[in-house]
Amino acid sequence: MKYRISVRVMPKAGISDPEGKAIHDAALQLGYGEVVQVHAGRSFEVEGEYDSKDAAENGAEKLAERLLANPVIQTYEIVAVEELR
Amino acid sequence: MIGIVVFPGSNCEFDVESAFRELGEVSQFVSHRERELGDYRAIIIPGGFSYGDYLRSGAIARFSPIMDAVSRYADNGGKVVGICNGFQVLTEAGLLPGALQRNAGPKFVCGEVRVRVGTTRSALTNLMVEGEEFSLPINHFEGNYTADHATLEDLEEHHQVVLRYVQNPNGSANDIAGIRNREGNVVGLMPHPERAGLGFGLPDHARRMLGSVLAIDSVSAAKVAH
Repeated sequence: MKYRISVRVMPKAGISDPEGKAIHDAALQLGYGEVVQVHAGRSFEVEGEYDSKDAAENGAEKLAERLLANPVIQTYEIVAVEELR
Repeated sequence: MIGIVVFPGSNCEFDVESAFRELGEVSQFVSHRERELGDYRAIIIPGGFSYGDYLRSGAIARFSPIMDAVSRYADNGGKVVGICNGFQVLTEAGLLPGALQRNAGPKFVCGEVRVRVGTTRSALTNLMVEGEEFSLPINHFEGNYTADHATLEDLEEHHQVVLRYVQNPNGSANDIAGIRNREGNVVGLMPHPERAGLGFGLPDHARRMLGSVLAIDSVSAAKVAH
């Protein structure tokens, strides 16, 4: 079966996030004074053939750990797993 | 002979080749597709934008076939030096600790910076003097060395910081411009010693730096560094 897995990669807590900070600075400059913090990450949509929803989730997790995220500075999260028809 | 690993998007391989030619050393370009490495005095991973820096700098290059051979070469005590994007590839591959993320600036940095030698016990600094300062070109967007507290403490405790910025241009933790592995045979740095002198001839400090790579043979590099 074909699945689409959404993976979100974010900077690890405690690791500096220069991109998020630059975006925050820009937001403040535009007058959005209520914005306290911005974190910049990336999201991926992986489509693949898996036997089950669990297998899809496990597969995406391995891929995220090894390739999509750098565990030294980032964390990842499987946000959604949906079966494609 | 030096082996220079070339990925799609590498762009400093000719600078490295010409710098080593100035030192009388011949280089050979090694394709990212190769699975074995020949008999080289050292392997250089040059700067550039391997695989377009897609995903993260060095993240895709580290999985190219040649990198398994580079890991084995390093494990056997062979000297491996990653310059700029090469440093990013080595951290992504886990051959050096930590990671290089976007400059804290927030800007691309390009120019000359003063750096200080942190240790001479490395494949890149064994002909240098500890504490000596000089200028080297830098040219990068993701040179902000980042690691967790424990890793940074470990690097300092084992004198693994090879080069430090005198004035930090990119937000790097502990002003780190270059580090070595525990053994000293693997080194990564953001500055470009091969480009020092702007093509008018390598200045003395750059000659000694690249000369360090040639100074000891591959097998004994690990031993000498201890």
